[in-house]
Amino acid sequence: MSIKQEIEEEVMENISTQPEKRIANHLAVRAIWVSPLFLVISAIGWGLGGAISALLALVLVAFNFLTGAAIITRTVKISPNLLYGSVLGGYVLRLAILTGVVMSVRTFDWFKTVPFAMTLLVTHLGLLATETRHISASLAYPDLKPTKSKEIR
Amino acid sequence: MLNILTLAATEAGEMLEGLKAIGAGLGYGLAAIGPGVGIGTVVGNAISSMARQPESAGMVRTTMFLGIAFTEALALIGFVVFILLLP
Repeated sequence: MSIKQEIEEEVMENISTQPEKRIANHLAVRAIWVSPLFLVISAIGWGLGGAISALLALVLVAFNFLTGAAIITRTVKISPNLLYGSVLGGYVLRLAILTGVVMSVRTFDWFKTVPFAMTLLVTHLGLLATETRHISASLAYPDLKPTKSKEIR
Repeated sequence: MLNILTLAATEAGEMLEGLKAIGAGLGYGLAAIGPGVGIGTVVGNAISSMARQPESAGMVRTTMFLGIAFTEALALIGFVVFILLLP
C-alpha cells in the first residue's frame, strides 16, 4: 500500500460523522481561550462580582453550543421529524434554562448585569464569527478545515 | 388592566416598576418569535437538502448548526434587553 493510500485511509477514518459536535467542541475550547480577556475586563470594571458574572456568561454560552449540538447529533440518527421537533423544542428549552439561571442568581450581590450581558453577547457572536474562518464545509471535510498532518498532498 | 395596576401599585414608583417588568417580559417574548421562525426555516430547508442529497448531509448539518447559532443570537439580544430592563 502506497503512502498516499495510507493517508487517504487515515483521512477517511477521521472524517467526522458528527460535524456539529466537533464544531461545538471547538467553540467551547475557544471560549476557554478567550475567557481570561473577559474575566480581566470585568474584574477591572466591576470587581470580583463582575468577573464571576462574566464567567457565568461564558459557561452559559459554551453550554448553549454543546447542548444544541448534542440535540442534533442524537436526533438526526433517528428521524428528520424528530430532528425538527427537537431543535425547535431545544431552542425553547435552552432559552428557558438561560432565563432560569439568570433569574435565580440576579438577586445575589455578586451578580452584575452589564458584564454578564456584554460577555454573553460578545462571546456568542464573536466565537461564531471567528468559527466561520475554521469551517471547511466540503464533501471531504464537512466540518472543520483539516490540519496540516491530515492533508493529502 | 389599568385599573388593576392602579389598585395594585399604591405608589407611582411601584407602578413604574411593574410596567417595566411587563415591558421587559413582552419584549423578550416578542424577540423570541423571530428566531423561532428563523430556526424553523433553517432546519426545514436543511432536512429538505439532506433528503435530496444524502451524501452532502455532513455539509448541510454544519451549515444548519451555524445557522441555528447565528439565529439564536437574535434571541440572546432580546434576553439581554430583558435583563437590563428588569427592575
